[in-house]
Amino acid sequence: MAHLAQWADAYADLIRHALADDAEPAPAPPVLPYVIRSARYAEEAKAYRRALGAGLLDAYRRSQQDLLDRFERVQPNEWDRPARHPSGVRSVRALLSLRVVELSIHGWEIVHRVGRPAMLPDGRHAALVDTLPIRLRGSFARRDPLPERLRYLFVLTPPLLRLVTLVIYGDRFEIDPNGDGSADAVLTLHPQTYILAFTGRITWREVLDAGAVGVTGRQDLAADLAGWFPPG
Amino acid sequence: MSVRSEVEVVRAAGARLGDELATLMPSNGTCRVPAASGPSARSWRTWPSGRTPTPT
Repeated sequence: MAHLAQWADAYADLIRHALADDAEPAPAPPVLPYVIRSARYAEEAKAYRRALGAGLLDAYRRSQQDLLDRFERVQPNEWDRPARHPSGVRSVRALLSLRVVELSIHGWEIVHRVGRPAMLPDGRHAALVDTLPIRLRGSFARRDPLPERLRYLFVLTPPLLRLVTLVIYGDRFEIDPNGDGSADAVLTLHPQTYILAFTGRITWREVLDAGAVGVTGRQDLAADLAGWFPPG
Repeated sequence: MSVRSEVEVVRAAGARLGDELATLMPSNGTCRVPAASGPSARSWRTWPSGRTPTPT
């Protein structure tokens, strides 16, 4: 919750800068690997949590309202303005989608951590799947180029019904959240399982052991996903 | 999803989390986590149909 409060303030700041008339163009900030950024965010959130003490709930609600006010004031022609998000330069519109992702994933995590059945709301699967490539670009464990590319096809089941193509070249990858075609491995799974595994909330090993994914083609490639995209 | 709808998602999801936090956190700022929670009590296998998806 402290992380969500902290980042609501950060997003409000990013939007304010993006919309400022006198904002000077600045070079894109260096993008650190996700594993480094996530460790830093966790430390910052812990420090903020300690500082807030009993004020956490108030701080969360205040920051969330400030960010909503900021989004409410964005004019139609301003949504494409660039903002300097730590993952790279993103549009203000993308920040809105990323906030949905943050609230969804961390919301799921909080409910899950207190031992209650947690579900990502059906209506948010599409936004989460569409923004996942941003996260994956930060967590990809680059290796030497492969002699032959590896092609995955993820078949996401209702309520989303989507084909996602992931191609790994070793030193890079490409992902298309609206993919198609043949693949070395076809993984069929619920969109929630897909999202939670790729965001590191559950491991691919757990998913495979639980039989929560159907795999056709090369079975070994499914287990390799954890190596290509290690959890942050 | 339209921008307006997405702002409403942020509003609703944010409010829900605030309510969640309010139930977990008494006035002294310490989170109450049920004793049964933790890795052994976790169940992430909660997909709506309750069954393993079948490859197509």
